[in-house]
Amino acid sequence: MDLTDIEALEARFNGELQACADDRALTALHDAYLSRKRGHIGEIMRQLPQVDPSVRGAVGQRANALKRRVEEAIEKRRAELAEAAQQAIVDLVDVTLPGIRPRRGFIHPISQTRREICRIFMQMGYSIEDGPELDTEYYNFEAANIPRDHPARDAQDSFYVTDDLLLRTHTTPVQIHAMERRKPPLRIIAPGRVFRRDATDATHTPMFFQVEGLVVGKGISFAHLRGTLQTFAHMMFGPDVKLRLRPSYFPFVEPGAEVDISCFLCKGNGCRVCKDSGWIEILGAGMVHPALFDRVGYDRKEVTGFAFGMGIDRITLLKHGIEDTRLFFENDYRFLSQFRS
Amino acid sequence: MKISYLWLRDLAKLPAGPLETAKALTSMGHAVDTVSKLWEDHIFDLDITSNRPDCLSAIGLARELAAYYGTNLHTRPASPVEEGQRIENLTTVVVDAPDLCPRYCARVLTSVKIGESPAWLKSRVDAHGFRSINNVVDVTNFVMLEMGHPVHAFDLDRLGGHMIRVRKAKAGERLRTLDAVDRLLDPEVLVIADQKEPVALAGIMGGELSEISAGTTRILLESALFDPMNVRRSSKRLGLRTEASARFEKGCDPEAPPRAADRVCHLLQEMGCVVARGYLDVKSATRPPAVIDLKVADVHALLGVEIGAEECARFLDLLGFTVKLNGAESLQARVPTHRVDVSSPVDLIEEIARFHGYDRIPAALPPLDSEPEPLPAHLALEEDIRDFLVGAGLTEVITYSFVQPPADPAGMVPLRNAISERTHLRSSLAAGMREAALHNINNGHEDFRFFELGHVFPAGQRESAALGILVSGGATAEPTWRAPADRPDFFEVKGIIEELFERVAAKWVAFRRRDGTAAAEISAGGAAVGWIEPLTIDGRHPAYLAEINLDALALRIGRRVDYAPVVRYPASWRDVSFLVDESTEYASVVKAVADAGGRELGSITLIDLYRGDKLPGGKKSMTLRLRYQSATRTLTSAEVDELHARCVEAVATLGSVRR
Repeated sequence: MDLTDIEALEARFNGELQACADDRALTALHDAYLSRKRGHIGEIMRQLPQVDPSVRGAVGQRANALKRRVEEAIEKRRAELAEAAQQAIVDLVDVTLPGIRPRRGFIHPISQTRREICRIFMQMGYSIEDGPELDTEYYNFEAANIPRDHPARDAQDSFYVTDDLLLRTHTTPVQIHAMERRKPPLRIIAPGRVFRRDATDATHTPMFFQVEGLVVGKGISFAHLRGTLQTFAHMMFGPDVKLRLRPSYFPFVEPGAEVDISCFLCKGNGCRVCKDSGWIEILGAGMVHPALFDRVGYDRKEVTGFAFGMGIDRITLLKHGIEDTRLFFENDYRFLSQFRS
Repeated sequence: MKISYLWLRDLAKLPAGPLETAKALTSMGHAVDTVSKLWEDHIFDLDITSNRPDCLSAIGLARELAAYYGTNLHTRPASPVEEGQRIENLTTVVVDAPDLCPRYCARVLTSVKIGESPAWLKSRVDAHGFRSINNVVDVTNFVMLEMGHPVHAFDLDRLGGHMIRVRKAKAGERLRTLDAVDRLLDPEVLVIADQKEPVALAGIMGGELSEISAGTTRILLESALFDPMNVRRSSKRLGLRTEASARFEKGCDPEAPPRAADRVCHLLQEMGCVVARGYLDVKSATRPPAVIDLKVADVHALLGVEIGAEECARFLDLLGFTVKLNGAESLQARVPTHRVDVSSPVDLIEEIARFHGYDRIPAALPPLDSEPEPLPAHLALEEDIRDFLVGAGLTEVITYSFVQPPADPAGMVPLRNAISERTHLRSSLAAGMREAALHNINNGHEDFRFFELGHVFPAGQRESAALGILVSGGATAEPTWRAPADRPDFFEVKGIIEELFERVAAKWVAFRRRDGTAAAEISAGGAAVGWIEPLTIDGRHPAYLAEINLDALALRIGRRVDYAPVVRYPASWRDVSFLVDESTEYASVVKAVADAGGRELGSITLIDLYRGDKLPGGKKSMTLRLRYQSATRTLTSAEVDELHARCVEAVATLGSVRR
């Protein structure tokens, strides 16, 4: 036994260490060299008393040094292998696999438009009102200046439940209720479901949604109506949209107007949506007819007001290029899930 | 209504082409929907608002255009030369119901030769959607189109007693109208009768008996005024709307009857008829034309633009009003008889606005002088629910408020005049949601979770707001590479509702099994607010349906969020497993444990529920994880053990605790 035997052992160890590919092999290697009873280094230690005394000290030192180096090398190798194993796991990650998504829900496109419209008017200081969908003849028609046998009732053929109760044909009754309950000045919008006895086709359903607005106060004028609708159109459809008001007739307003916006799809060049006219009809409006003020006990000499109304369904159709209004109430998931909110 | 551009051009001496003219009409409130070319002419299809029956005619629209362009309206000759017998010797007119027929003008024509109309007449009526019938009928239709006043021609020799009596129908009387329909009349219907029977429905349609035929030689021409409301009601009741009724029901010019009759006579005379001398004009006192005082300041106030008195007067004058200026402050306008829609100052302001041009009125924002109010609580609740449910993966649907009723529609309100098989108002959102579900399943889409917010109308109760939830799909929308798609589950639906109720701060929420079913009744604050039910769609697809009465819920929710200090002392957990009878409800276990644990029992979580062969028959095993925590100090291990021992003891009263 001399120093060369130790050197040879170290060389052998280095070779065997490199061959270790996993934790088990390292443990075996550790036992083979470091086990007190059977390990190669232990063997050297046991044979030390028989070594020539002149080199015994040096051999002992070398053997101890080797023992340390073997321990360190095995630990280092163990760490390396652990890291490699970790890396191997990381290398298995395919970040292009589909994520596990939470289930998505969608707000109905009509609700989305209603919210958008309401938000715009709330920004302008309007309060939101609602009321019953089943209302009386008086609130739906009489108080809105549409007496029995008035030709304007043709446009609003209605579903009756009793002689006096009907499904409201517009949200105007909400305005009447609000005026009865509150004193002027007031500034409200009334969104909601309305019902007309129309045959169902691509542009008509017997149920649809409206938003009506009402502003009453001292000195409210047609110019204010115009400014309000213009602001709304800019916020809803974009700052470039132009407004066109045409005289029209609704019994509850006078002067009455039909309001068009310049086609936001073709910028007025003509397209299918605006039927090549460059204009899209989006709402009806006008100055509140004094007869309504008489009904609710407002003084027609003291206050004036304007009112407007628009179809939420129609605006939603326009906004998304939907061709058939019946789709709104068919509730096909493939339709509803297109309207990300 | 259809109207020929060339006709308008001739009548109003228009300086503009068809497209520009269409624009002018639209800007005045007579919306031109389409312009279609017809030979060298253009036909406008207009939407005439119901307040302007005067514009249901060529002259009416030409009058508007003449005012717009400042041209003169071309008047048409209406001065027939009378000859032969006097009308009084040929016929008599009696009006028994002057309130329903304020004016009845009659003319008689003799030497009538029924034949084809001249080409100009044929093409004109044809271009406006009327089938050419014969010269007499075509002329009456032409004059209605030209002047807006319906005129009817009777064969004088087929009128019993050669006379006209305007009266209400007698019960049981019948009339076969020109559309070959035998009609039973009721006493509300105004008829034109001869000596013994009805010969026409006043203002609506003539009868076959007195119809102009090839052999007609003498004509009685009727040009009358009828009560708009009666015409409207009768036409609705009879289900018969005609060009004539459409005009009479909106109101006609009270001065038109003699003029329209003369115009017809003039044209028929050109075709060889002889106009008998004189005419009959039976009229009750008619209202004089309205005279309206208008303050110029009111114009400014209502429109928000200053338009001077003279300008106002000029606009009104162009439109045929007779205007008297009272300085710069006010004016007085006499309404022309054809403007049946104008009766008050605001009507005049509209005319002024129309002529000034709506688009020339400036835009301004109204002063914010009313205080905005917060969103009403029930609407805020709906918005909150919508946001929560969408975030929880549910999709909003909107279904019809009327539904096809089940075999027994008890509790539902029927519509009186439904137009489809949807004959009843919904008393619950369930039917509509099922329909939406079925639609999707039939289209191959079975995996969905829907909700709807809407009103329901239970019979005998107030309309109320409701929330419906229908769950057909499992927790994830689709199977993933990690897990297959799962089935809908009662406890997921319950979980959604629990979470929702917690979010809206519902008070004292409890679920109670509906006896003998897998359904649950939900209460809040001690009151019933809804239910969850299992159901099968299309006999095959399991799903869960829930409905919440939002009006009831809204009364039982807390508004304010009251802050509670975060507990800084550590918590300890202990588990307890036990066997109970299958009939023992979890809620009773929770109640027993909660009562025993007191304030220091922070939470109770069911972490295992086991049923199986290894257990004694009729038993189930539960494991609870109990959290102990004090708000004021750290609990010692001994204290926790003692608390837990009390809880375990409470459990032991319900079942056997497993070690």
